[in-house]
Amino acid sequence: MNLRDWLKRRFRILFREKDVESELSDEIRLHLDMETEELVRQGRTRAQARREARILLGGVEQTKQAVRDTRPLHWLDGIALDLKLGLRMLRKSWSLTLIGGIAITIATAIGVGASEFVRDLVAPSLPLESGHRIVRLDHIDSESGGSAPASVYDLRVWRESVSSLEHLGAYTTMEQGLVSDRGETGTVNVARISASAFELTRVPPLLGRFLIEADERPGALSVVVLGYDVWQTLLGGDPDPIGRTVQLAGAPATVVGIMPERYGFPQAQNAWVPLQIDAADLEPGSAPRANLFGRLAPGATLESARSELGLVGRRAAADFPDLYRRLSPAVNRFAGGPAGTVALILSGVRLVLVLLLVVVCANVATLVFARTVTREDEIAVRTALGATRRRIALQLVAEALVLVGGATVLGLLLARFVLGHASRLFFVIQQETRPPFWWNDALSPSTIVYALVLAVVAALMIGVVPALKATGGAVHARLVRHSAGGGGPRFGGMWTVMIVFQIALSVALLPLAVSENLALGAMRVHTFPISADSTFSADEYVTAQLGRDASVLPRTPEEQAAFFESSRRLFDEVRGRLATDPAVRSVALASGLSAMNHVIGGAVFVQDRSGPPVVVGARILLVDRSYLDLMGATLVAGRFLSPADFTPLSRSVVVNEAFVSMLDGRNAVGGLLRFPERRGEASNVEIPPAGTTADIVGVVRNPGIEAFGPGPHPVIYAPLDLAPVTPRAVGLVGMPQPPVTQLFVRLRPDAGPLDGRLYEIVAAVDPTLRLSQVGTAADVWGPVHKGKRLGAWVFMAVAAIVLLLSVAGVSALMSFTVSRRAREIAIRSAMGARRRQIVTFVFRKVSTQLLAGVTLGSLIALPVLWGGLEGDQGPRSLAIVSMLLFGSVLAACLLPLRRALAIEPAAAMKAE
Amino acid sequence: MMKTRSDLLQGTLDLLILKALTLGPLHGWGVSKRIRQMSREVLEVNQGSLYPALHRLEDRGMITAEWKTSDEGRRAKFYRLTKEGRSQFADEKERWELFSTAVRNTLRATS
Repeated sequence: MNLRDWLKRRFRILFREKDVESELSDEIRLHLDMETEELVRQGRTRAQARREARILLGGVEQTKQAVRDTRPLHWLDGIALDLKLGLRMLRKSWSLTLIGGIAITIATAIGVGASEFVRDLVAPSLPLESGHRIVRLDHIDSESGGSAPASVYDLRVWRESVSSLEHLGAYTTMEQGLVSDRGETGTVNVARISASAFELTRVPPLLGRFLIEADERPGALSVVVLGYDVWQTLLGGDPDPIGRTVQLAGAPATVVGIMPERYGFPQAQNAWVPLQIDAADLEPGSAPRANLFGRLAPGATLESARSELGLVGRRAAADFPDLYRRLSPAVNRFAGGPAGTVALILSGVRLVLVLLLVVVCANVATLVFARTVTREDEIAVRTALGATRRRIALQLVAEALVLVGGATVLGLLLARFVLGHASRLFFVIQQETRPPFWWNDALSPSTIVYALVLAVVAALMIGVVPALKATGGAVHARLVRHSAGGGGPRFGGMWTVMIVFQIALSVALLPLAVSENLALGAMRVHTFPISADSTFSADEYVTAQLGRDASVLPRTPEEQAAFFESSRRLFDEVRGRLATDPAVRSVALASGLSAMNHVIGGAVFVQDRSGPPVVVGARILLVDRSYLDLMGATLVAGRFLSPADFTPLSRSVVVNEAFVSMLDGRNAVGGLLRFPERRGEASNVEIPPAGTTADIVGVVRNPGIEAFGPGPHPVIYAPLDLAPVTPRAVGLVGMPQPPVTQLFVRLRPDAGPLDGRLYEIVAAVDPTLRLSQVGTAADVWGPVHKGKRLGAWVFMAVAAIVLLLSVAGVSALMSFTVSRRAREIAIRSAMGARRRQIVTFVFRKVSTQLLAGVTLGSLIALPVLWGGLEGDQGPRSLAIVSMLLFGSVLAACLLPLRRALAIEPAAAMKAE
Repeated sequence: MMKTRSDLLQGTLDLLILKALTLGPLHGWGVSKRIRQMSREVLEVNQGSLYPALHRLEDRGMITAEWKTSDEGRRAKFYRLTKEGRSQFADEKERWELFSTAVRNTLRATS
């Protein structure tokens, strides 16, 4: 049979079943008619002939079924029937369907969502042709263990000497203001980038051209390639934008190309200008640092590239030992996420959340088993009629597949919905205006397949184990039990352990979940308490990033110092003008929005210069003289920073209470702080040079935003002048970055919005100044709060699933006990047992399991609850949850108890 | 019907169907009748096994089917041998002849 006929036959059988069956019926009917005629010719009467023809055939339906069994894919019929039966069972056992379905849906959503999120974070893939072959290059510092950026000198050397890599280039990124020739303004994420980036990414422009090598030559015409969204919003989607002139950071640039939607290489950029490198930049000692990229050459591997770069690195260390002694070149996948411990932790979290599904399925299996044993009679009869154990198990697996399959599909839809929100929140909290261009909120095909595979495994777990238990034992024995009405599968040790475990988990998780949600519920984004006598009104504060564009970046150290000094004066002038606005109560500058991202490896605290040092892992925020007052900081000890502390020679700092709590009861005021050498961790602020010492002059409660946002972290508030803003400060390391500072404005009560006037004031001071991320503190911290709420709700959902399954499991056990021991209950009742005694008899096993579970859960939860919650919140939550659990279980057991009490002895005996 | 005859028929039903069709296309009942005729009324095909065998052979590509009008004026499904079926029949026939010769020789052996 050729392939065409083979496919045609199977197509007919699958999709034209009615025609195929009709033909089979016609064929069999013809046979019967012909045989009947033959027998009539042999002398039978017509009726006799008809009857004999049927007997000779062996039964019409049997023959048809035998034909069906020879068809290819006939096993699909069996599965289709099982699935239909499964749907019917779902409708019949609606409570199991509801509880199991909800539990599996939520567990799938959490497991799949977390898995996708972590995968996109830790091991993202670039949506570019052979994106896995695009790499980034930097150095590893052998002393600190962290990474160190490469320089444009390295770029030149590696281009010349490394054959495993092609399209090598460099980039630096910044936000700049863009003004179109028709007056539209906006902020764009600019990449100053090598033209080779476009050959590397292999994405053709939508309109015009991308950057070419000629654009990189010093003195070439200033050109810019814009992203799709910029073209749509700032150029009005002009069908002919090529050749238009825009002002980028105050300097004109000609638009030469528009890139397609979602193109954002290297991160989330929407404007690209050529990276022009002076010959002077190519000296090893003075070459500016940059982010380097490349693509593995055809036939090259990551290992071969590393090997080749290693050789080049050793040569550089020999030629320039002062510069390269500690550095060795490193090449990694471009979009690689966090590595090392962080990646391990994230993967661990992902595994735990996936395991949640396994735990939930195991619990649902308990409920399914309880339902299966009530069908023991049906299963015994089917076995007696010829069904094999395999066939019955397959049917039960099919029923489980219907439940799990439906719940998995719902779970995927829920995951998709939540993932989108979670991703947006995540990047807002990271203060990224846009996610990286490779970030995709959709569930990847591999994740969907993974979820479906998990569903099949879950169906096997839920279907096979109960099936094996229910079909165990000889058929005869089961049939005898069926007629005798007693015995049968029991809820043995394994099920008892599972129910106890479920209850323990509920007791352990719920108090924490409830406390977390209550605490977050009490926290308000707009007005939240800082202390017993002060609150922070987040709507009273406007915050923004204040930066300065440089149309021509300063090159020499002198130019850079002058540029930054002039920038500092402009920032001060903005502060001064804002302070005179009638709506403004006070203005402050700081190195960032909060101490959240400003981590230093450890500030060594030495008290009285003679006591043993204590290492405190703290965060640092550089603040001006108005910041602490503006934020309503409450002094706990010592003093605030005074104007005298804001001089280059001063070394005074203030710390918060969380910092002091790390000192084991010592007095912080008067102590000496020594800053460590900078390690590999990234910091958004230039910390004071290694070895710098500072005196702690005061201790404050976490002020304002700090009280809400990052939590009780140790923070050092240092004068903005202590670590002066240098060309390497505040932002990406690499090419000189325009200076940026965080502006805070506290409004007077009942003052109107400031946004419009804020822009006017800033523009009036200097047109190269730029505002971005303007909003009230509530706007800023809202996403953080939402993120925490989302996390708390997920936690609560998990705890609720566990509680639901515990209660359902206990109820199932009770129902099972009552149905299995109806005769025994009837006998006891007939012998004079009172209602209370019957209730005790029925409830005995359940109450033992309940008590064991609550005890175990309390033992697990108490250490965490005592330590993690304030005051008596822990024990109170535990007590509330235990009562809730007891109450829920009692409520769930009411129906089976009522059935037990309603058993009439005479009726029960007669039924036996 | 002797039990032994139906045992033989189970193992050779496909072969007999292919033989019956070498003489021309037939519908299912016709195949059963022809086998009976060719065996001089010795072999009676189990009619319940006939149609599953016909459909199995069709699925394997040994025979192909077509709905036509029979001599009696009824619409019937006619089976005929394919090229693969002819080749398969030749192979099966050779194997059966070898087998039956071996059995006959064994039964006739005196030592």
